[in-house]
Amino acid sequence: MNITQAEVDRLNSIEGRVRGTVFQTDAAYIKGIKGEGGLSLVEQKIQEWGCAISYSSIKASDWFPVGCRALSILSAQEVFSWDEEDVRKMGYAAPAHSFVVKMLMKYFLSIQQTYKQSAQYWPAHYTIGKLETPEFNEKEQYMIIRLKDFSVHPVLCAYFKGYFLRLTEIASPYQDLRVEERSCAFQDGKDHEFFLRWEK
Amino acid sequence: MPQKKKPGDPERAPLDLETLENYVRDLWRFLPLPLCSFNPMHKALDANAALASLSLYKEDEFVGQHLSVFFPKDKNPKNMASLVLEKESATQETNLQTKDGKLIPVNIYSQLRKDEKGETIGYFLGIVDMTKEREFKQEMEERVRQQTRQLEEKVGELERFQKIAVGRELKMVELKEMVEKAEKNLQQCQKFNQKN
Repeated sequence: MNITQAEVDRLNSIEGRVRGTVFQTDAAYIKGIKGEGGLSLVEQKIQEWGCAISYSSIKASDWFPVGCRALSILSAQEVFSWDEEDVRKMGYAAPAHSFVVKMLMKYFLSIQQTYKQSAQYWPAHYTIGKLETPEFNEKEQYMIIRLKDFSVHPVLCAYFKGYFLRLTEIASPYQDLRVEERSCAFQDGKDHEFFLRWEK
Repeated sequence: MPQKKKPGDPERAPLDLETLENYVRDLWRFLPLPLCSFNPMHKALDANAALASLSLYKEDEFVGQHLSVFFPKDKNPKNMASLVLEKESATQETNLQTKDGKLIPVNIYSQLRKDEKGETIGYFLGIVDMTKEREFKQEMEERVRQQTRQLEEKVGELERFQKIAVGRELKMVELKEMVEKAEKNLQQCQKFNQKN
């Protein structure tokens, strides 16, 4: 997948910021599967694209332009020729690498509670977009996570599919969880809606 | 020039959190004892490098897995899960199943985690590989068995010898008595012959 300069410029011009912790999580994953050398290549690529990201010295609480969030994943995708499934795997691994997730998980004693509270953690990481939790259906065994006003890049849809799936696996007793994005801002112009279904 | 944030300054909190995070991460990595933490639904939240090395699961593969994935051959997995939540701290003997399906005998030390209200928010598990201890114990038991067998054989030999020795002794006594009797008879015969 080749990213055009116009696309890079569009991403770099998006208003909004993201916490440094997401890049630490990317770095931990890339280093884990591709080693230090692989991470250097990704860093080189993202810097070529105009993001001042140095994975080794990044601080979790620092703010960065939100476009860099997508460019971090896109640079890994370009360097390693990843497809959408590889990006989903990266998102799936993210909660396991995130210290913040571990800190917060202790307060989530049930999936319903986690679901209700998850929305309030979005603004701690992103200054744009809004996470909503409109429906949790225990009987029909599904829940919906809605992401509003967040049209950064489609690569993040694949990433969030993996991320929400893993987070739900950790916070719930359910088996055989599946996720699909039923609505996408890049396809139908509506909000992103992630539909998670499970077997008991 | 940006002002330095003093301790107690709320804006300093993220920096303090990062320092704490690095400390916990370094300590967690350094500890040679296999460790992991679970939430109250028995889903793994974290595992250290020592446990990854023992179990062959990568650290991130642990996260989100249910307790029963690692201890499936437990005699009563429900008991194990409930015991760790019932007691403040507990010790159990069980087997850890590695990623390649191998069972490793382990001792598990569990410790509950509670929040400021005293509600259980999960638990830590410390896992001690007992393979060498079990092998040593089995070796010792085998040695004791072998030595007991050898001892029993020796006792048998002694008993047989004793029987032979005692029989010989009795025969000697009998022969001695016969000799004494014969000597008495001979003396009587000699006295009789002298008189006549």
